[in-house]
Amino acid sequence: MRGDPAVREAERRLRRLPDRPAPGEADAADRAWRVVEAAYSERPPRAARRRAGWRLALAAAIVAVGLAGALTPAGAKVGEWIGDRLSTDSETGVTAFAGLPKGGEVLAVSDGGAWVVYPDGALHRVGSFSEAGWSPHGWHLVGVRERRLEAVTPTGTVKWTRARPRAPHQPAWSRGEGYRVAYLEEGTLRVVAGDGTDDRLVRRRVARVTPAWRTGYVLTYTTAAGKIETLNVDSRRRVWARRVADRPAALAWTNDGERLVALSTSGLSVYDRRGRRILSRRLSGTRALALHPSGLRAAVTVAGRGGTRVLALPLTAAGPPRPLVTGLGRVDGIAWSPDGRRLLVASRDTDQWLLIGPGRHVRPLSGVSGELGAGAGFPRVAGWCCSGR
Amino acid sequence: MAALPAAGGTGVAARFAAGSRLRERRLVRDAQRGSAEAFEVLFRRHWAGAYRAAWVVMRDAAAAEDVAQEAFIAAVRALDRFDRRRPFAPWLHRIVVNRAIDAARSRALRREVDTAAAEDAAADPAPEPLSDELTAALADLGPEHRAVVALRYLLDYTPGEIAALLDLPRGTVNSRLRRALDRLATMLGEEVR
Repeated sequence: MRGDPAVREAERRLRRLPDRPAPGEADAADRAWRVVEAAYSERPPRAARRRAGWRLALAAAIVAVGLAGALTPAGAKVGEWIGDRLSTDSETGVTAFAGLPKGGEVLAVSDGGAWVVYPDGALHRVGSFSEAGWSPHGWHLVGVRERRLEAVTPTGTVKWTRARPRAPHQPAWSRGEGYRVAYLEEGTLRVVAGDGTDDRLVRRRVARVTPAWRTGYVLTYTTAAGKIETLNVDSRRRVWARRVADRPAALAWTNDGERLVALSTSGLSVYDRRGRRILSRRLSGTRALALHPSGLRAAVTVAGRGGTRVLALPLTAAGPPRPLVTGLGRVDGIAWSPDGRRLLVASRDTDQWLLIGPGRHVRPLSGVSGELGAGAGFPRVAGWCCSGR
Repeated sequence: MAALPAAGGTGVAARFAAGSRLRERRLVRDAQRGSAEAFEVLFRRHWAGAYRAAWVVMRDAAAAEDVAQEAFIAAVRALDRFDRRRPFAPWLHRIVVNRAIDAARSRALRREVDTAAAEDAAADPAPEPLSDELTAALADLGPEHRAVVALRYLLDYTPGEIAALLDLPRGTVNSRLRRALDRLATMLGEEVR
């Protein structure tokens, strides 16, 4: 090792490292503690963990005693005693979904179908849908079941069904009074009236991106060639078209119809109603988008080496993104509450829905798969409705 | 994990260190029994070291936050299996540093430009942060060398302890420290002379 003054100076400076904070250290501590605390609170209590082992042993004993009971009258008495012991540790009956705040219902889609989740924890299965979305006022839902497009009420009553030659996908109910539903079918864009009639082809060669309604009749979609186009579906007049470098993976108009947000895997762009780009943010690994009801900001998920982060991005100026939660695994849907006070994040790897509230407080709703019943799988968050109801 | 050598020393400092270890052992025991307060004390006590070590290796605030947070979550998951006769910090630091090295390597391979992370770092106000010419010079080292520097000078491990933490021969640790110091000295040399 060199023994010159430069080495001594380097070592002297290195020894001062412990005295100095790293950038962002204090804020990061508070954010991280909320996530770590949630992980800690999800640990089963030690007694329960011990009890699990005890229960396994007891289960084996039950089998043995059950056999004995079948063979001897005295076994019935012993089985009764064991039944009492097990029932004292039974579930309380409080569901994970009971932690949802009041003011709207969440639409969840799992391998077992689509469900409306109410704030008191009640569930209503609305159909065997692989995809689903709310109508503007939450009076109906549109869902995809194999080669059918269906409209149902939140209680599951079917209002209309359209059988298609090929599987429809990515349906989107129009704004306003909800007179139209757009959907994709094997590279084409189609629109059907809100009562299930007048199904027609609107555009060929479109990309597999859910179309976004600006109003009740103006629709924005992505073409297979990578252009964003906005069309008046009644007059068939193209309002604007814009070629973009990165093909959008998600499109959404703000509620006032003034700004379009396009999310690609490399960032986010904001356009005005005439298609002029007014903001662009580069963000590698972006996945999902949820516009805040105010239209002033968006939540996006960003996948990276350190897991998935959920960031809040301002849409009116190029302010810095604010991390809301970090270090997640796979995220299957994000949605703002109708009042915009909370963001719901579906965290598949931890089988949780995370409610991020004011002050970035994270409240986990755990074991959400189990709430839907055996084999239903993890519930993706498909929407949270409805401010207009 | 290989057993770590106990911290040496005599007199008041050694008695203080022994008392501190005892308190920490109680905190771990209470955390294992379900005390969130005890776990929060452990978190607050070790966050700065974990985050700074990750930052020195990653040089990116958002990535450091992710790595340090993940390390604590890993610690939560493994808490029941943790032998509380062992010190908590080396166990945590081993997770942090190994994850940070992995993340820095894969990031270098991807040559990822993450504007969000850069903006996060720029937006974070911090008094006299670790962002001067020393850390700029550290950037010229590989993540493995930065990890050894962080463990030696930031977290105050001996080369023997670092070797045990990273599962490396002690000679490798010494040579990495030597190379890192020489490199830093070269870069800082002009300023000193």
